[in-house]
Amino acid sequence: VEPPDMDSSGEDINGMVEKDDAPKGPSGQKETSTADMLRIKQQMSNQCFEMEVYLNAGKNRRSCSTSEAERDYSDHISELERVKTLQFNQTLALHRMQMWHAMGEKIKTNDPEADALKVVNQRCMALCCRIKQIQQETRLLQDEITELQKKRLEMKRLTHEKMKEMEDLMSRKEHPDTEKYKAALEKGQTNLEKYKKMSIMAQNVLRGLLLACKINWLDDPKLRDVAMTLEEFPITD
Amino acid sequence: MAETLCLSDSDRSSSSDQSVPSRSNNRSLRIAEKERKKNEAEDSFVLALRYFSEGSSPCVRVLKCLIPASVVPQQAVVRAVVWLNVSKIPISTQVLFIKWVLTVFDLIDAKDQLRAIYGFIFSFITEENLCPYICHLLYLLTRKENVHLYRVRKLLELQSKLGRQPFLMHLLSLYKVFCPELVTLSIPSRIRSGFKNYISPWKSALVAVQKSNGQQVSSSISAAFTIKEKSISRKRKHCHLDLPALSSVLNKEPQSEQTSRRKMVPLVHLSSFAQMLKDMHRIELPAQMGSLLGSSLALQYLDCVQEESALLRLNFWLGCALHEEFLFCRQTSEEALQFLNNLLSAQHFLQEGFSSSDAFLYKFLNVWDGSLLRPQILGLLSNIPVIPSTQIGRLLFEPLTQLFFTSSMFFKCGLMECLNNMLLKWLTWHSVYALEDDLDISLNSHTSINITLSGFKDSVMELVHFVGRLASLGLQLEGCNTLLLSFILDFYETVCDTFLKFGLPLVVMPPPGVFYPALLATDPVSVDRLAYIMHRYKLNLTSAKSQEKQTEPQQAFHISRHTFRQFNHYLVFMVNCLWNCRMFHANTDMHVREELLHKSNVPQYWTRFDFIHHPAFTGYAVDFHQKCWPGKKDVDVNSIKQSKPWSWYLEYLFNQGFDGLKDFVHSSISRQVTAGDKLQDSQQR
Repeated sequence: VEPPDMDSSGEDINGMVEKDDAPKGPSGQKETSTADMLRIKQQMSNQCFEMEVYLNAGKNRRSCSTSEAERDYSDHISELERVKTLQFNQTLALHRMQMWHAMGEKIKTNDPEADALKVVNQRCMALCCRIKQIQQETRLLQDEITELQKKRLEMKRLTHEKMKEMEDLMSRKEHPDTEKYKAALEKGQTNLEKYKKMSIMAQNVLRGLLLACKINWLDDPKLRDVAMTLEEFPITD
Repeated sequence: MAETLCLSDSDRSSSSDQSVPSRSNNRSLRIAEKERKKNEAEDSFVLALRYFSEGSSPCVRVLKCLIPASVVPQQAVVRAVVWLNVSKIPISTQVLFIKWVLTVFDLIDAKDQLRAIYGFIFSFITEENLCPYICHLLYLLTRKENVHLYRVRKLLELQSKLGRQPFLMHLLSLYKVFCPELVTLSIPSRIRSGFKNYISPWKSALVAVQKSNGQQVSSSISAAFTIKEKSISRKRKHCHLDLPALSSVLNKEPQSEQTSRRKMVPLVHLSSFAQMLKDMHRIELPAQMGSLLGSSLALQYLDCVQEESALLRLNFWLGCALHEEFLFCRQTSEEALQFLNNLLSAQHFLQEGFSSSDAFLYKFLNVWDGSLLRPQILGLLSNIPVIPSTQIGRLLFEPLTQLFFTSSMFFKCGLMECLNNMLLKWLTWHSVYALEDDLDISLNSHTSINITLSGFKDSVMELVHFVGRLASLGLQLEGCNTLLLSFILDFYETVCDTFLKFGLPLVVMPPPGVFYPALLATDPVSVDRLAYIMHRYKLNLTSAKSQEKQTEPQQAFHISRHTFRQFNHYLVFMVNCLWNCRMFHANTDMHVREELLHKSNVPQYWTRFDFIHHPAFTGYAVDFHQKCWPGKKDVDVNSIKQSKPWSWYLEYLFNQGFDGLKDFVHSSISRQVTAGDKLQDSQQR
């Protein structure tokens, strides 16, 4: 019987060769296996400890919280965009400078191409003049529109204010003879509430009956008339 | 006739399959329908629905083929509801029936009888399978009189059994609007998911069959004061996107004696504004709130009265219609365009949006391709109210960024315009509902979100910075396209005047990615507009500064040093560039190394962007030179730099319509002419 932790090559799982001269008697086997097991246990705990240390070291190396990374990310993006814009603008300036210098030189030469350029230039100037006129008009119109919209919105706001005021007034308005009839009014209202509750309950009960007994109330005209009123209360609040 | 129906059904194998009815089935029914048209409407529906009481499997197929020729008489629906209780109908058929009622709800001729049997319908709510659909149906029928404590208790009981289901929450929220004292439950203010959209495929199939049958539904929209085009032909196909006709709850025409005794005047009977004012407190809203969108009179009334239940129902209907058409359907129709145009007109008239259309837009932006119905969607987008700065990134900026960078130049321009309009509307709103720092004001009548002045300023700043970033990157992507630049400068024309025109104590400068491309633009119009914008910024800043000194420290608004520094930086650069011939200097954003500048072989590179050599103005310089010295063959534009020609040249430029340049030069540059024609400048800070 091989000890369970031995593989076929005679090494135990920790790569240690079993002692060949270990006594193999029943009592001896017991003693060595206990010692072996203790030894193996010690080795395993050492290895586990090493692995833990290694893991922790690795964790610290790569530690980084997501929120920090996100903040850095957006900062890096804006920095990148800033530099890109800077470079773009400078390149733009350089290119335009060169281009228009060349055009200026061309116009000075007074050859047919230069004349063509001048014609185009004239056309551009006329168009720009027209564009400016229209833009001026647009600006004035837009200002007018904005003013109108402000006025309309102001009207709307005032309307709502007035409606609120009216509601307040109407809710507060009291009948001139309130004092005289106050007691009677209160009594009347409590009675009304009581009967209202009773009638709603009765309606509910009747409806429940009709439903529970599966009565076809639609075909009986009298029953139908009653059933169609079960949702109403003739006196509204 | 019922027999023929029965025969044709039993001829085919009537296994209980729930599949969509076959075309042959449709055909046989169509023949039956023509006959049906001759008989009274109620009889025919009743006959069809009689299958209900028998509960046989043909009933299911009949129900699925049941397409209203014109209207659904409500007596038929009432009868069916009674049968639901009386007969032993399988649950699946009951569910199917309720779904059918919901699908054809808008076609039911009147709703008063349905409202009368509200309690009977409510009783079905305990049946778990029916519950969601019953809740939906009740939502469409509920009025204040139907809300009772025992019903609220029933709903809460159901909630504890089934959980906080959205359909229960919806119905409870409507109850809460009518009777807040009875419903003490707190309901989240924005229930995004409405009733589940289970009727949409059925509805589209119904519409398709109706269209193919060439059926017409005559619409009776009140003629006066409609904002829809009058040219709509009478042959209108009914579609769930058509604004429903404005109708009253009762079907009967009121007799003359009754009108005076009748308490409420249905909205459809009003024909003039004066009449509306007279009967203001007695007006009864129609059952279908969506119909209000077509009439400006109705919108006016709704806006004045601010009835919460009406708004809730209108938003519900609008949300459903938008979701159905754009988020579920594959193809959009011509009606979609019309519908959105009507919605836009309504929003334009009210000067505010609807919460359901806002919620829809946030969802839609994530799936939009940027070109479908672009003007309408962008129009709706510009009507969104101020979004709190904590949510604006997620809701608006993220989807828009994706769309912007993957779209055509025309979309970029369109989006710029849309965001400009949005800013204008926010600023207009602010100037009317002048916010104060410690005061919480609700955004509009429809939402419960409050905002303070600082919150508002944050949102505006977020928007302006966002647009600045989009603009910078957009210009780089599109090679400083002039059209795009024009829309961007439109935006900054709004931004530069936030203080003087709208009273908002905020000044935000344009980013370098916008300022420099505009200054280096090849067309004079852009440079002129930039000059105008800088001039306005200066006026705003000086006005703000003087106000800061005059009013008490608490009220004064403080502009950060950074803003002043940025403005001065730009101003100095612009003057140096255009006037002082000091381009490409060190310590500016435009610093280029000497070697590189020499390599370009351009002489006197520091003058290359002044008023004479600037790409935008060089044509004018040449033209002026020819006009000033017509004899000279050699064009040497540098000769304009002498003192007298220089002033003439400037006059000449300004007379071309470049008022922006004129204002800028006059306010920012004061000339001191010394011997030797050296031009100096002095800028005001």
